[in-house]
Amino acid sequence: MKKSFTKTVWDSLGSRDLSVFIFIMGLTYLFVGYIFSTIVPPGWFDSFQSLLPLLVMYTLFFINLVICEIKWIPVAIGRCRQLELPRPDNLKRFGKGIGLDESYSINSLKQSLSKSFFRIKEYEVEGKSVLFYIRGLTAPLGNIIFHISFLFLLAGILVGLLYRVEGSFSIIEGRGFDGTPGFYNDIKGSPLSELPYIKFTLDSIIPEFWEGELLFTDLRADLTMEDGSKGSSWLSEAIGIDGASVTVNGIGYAISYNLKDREGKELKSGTVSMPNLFAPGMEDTLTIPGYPHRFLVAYYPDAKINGSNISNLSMNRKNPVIGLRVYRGRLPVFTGLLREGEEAEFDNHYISFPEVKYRGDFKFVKDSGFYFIWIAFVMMISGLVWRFLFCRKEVLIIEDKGEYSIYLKSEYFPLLFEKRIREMAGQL
Amino acid sequence: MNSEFICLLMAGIAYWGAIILSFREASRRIALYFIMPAALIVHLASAIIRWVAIGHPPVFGTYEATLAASWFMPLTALLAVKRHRQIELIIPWTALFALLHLAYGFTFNTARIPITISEQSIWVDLHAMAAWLAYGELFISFLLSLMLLMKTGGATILKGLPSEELMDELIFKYLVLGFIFHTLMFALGSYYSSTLFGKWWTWDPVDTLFMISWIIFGLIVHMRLFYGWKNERMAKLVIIGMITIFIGYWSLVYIPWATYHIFDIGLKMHG
Ligand code: HEM
Repeated sequence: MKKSFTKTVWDSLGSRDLSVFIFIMGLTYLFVGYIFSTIVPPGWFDSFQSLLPLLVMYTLFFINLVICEIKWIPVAIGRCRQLELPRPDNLKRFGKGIGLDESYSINSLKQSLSKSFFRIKEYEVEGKSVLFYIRGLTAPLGNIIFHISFLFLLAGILVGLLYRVEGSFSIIEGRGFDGTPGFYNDIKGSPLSELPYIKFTLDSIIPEFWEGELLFTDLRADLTMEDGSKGSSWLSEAIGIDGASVTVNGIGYAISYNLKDREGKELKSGTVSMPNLFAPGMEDTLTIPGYPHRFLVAYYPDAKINGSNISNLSMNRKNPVIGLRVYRGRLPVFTGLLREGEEAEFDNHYISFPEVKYRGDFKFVKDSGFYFIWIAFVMMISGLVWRFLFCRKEVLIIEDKGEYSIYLKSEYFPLLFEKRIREMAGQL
Repeated sequence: MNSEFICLLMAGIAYWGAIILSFREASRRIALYFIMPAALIVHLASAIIRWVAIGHPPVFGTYEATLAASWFMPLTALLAVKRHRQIELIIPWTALFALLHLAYGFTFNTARIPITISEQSIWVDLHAMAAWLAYGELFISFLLSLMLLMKTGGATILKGLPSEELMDELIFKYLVLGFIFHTLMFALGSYYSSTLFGKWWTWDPVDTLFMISWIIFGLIVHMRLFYGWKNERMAKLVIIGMITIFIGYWSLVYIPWATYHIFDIGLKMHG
């Protein structure tokens, strides 16, 4: 009694009806999700994904898949193994033969078949000589590979959930990044993740803009690695460091300043990243510790000065000009335009900005789950090609006293195959 | 008018010519073997001129997408007819759909615009290529499905179509080819998304919609194998699947929450 109950559960969990039911559930769910995802802000739908009914559906999907495969694999392997040579007196699996009239050539058919991946068996039965062509004997394996790929997808997702770690950091040109946790802007790690060891110096950031507009056509970061080797990272092409993919996905400006007193003695200097300085024309505020002043800085990489108006022609660093306003409290003490390195005087002090550098914003992701995902995709595609493009086809040519009879069998495409065979036989 | 648009205009005229010539049995061959290939060549020339000028394959933005669709559809249809002469009738219909696609494209900005850096990669080019090949193959399956339903519904304009059984096999064949390219498109897109966003899958409206089409195609194959759904039943499912594909390819720009699949400058913030 107990056994038959288990078997009932097993059979219904692995039934084909359930597969179709899951397909329809999945479609309904995705359809609702699609409508939802077009009307709510991006990201909301992601949280919708982790709802309980869905997890039940996923679980059911994988249970169904695994049971189906457990049942199916032995059958499919059996089919791949069996190469049952057909006998002229038992042609049940072939249906009725096709008739070729005299205008067709058996030789040209034989030649074409031997060039089209067919295996050939030649034998004699009761005085009749038989030529048996077969291809796609292992096609059922394609089906298995395709379906097993879903388990690799699942493995990829699970590995990702457990081990994935990602984060971001920013570096100014010429400076190094040493990968200690404090250097990161943020780190998001899964329970078992480990921070990769990322260490390099950012030599330069090389952006390229379309006709000078704020539209990147290229963005490259040139790096020197810890061992002295050189490397580059792009927005769309990562550099691999300790298993992590590192990409540069944004830039900003960092400005170096030099503050002097009336005698020309340097009081303070440094390079600070100014997040609001980009895009050009925007103002950002610099404060120098120990001084009450606020320095409102704007940067025009390709300035055009027209009287007291300044505009920016392009994003390229062709004619850099710095717009500066200095305030003490609410009192403006300097307003003007400076070239790089040029000094501005205020309250008996001099400030200059020797250089405006780029700051590269980097992102890294380390997710070993990806490997499983790529394997899954390769399996999917090769499984489909294997299953369908090399599906099983058989040709049986029986010769009896100079008379030929031809029998065909093809999965999926019997009529197309017959047509193909007639073409191969070629009208004389 | 520049040479790109002159070539495209010539292609458009040739597509029209092919449609008209196809109505008559006697001139159908001319349309098939002469006018259509010529149309494809000048259409390609137009795309190459644009390609050289902008420095990337013209497959980004709605206008360029229609350029690609209206080239790949007749191309795959011609290749299909070369193999299966019985379905010659799909050629004028494909040409008509190609023209409709182009007309839709011209309602969008046709200016030559570069792609942003995030779209500069061999992977995204291959992804787009696989997508258009899938589109072409699935379109044939869709068209044959429509014809099958019209034929069984008694339409007389479709004289000369092969038997229902053969149509059924052909619908399935092009469905499977489309399914393979669709899967390839998924894989390449996923790989690219992983380099760009660090995620191999995002629940973007477009991704979701393509998952829907993909599952519909999977369902069709299963229904055929498990329950013997063939002919008209399969044709109806193919049409539903293709409608989701049409929505997926052409509705992006109307989605209120932009998807990262929009490449029309001005519709998307760059930077
Ligand atoms: C619920 C999970 C699934 C189960 C249990 C399942 C089961 C099966 C079985 C047993 C077959 C072989 C039928 C036969 O040859 O007689 C099959 C075929 C097929 N399945 Fe699935 N499947 C599942 C999910 C999917 C999904 C999600 C897709 C893709 C969208 C898919 C695509 C295919 C394809 C393309 C075939 C045809 C290959 C062939 O003819 O051998 N399957 N499936």
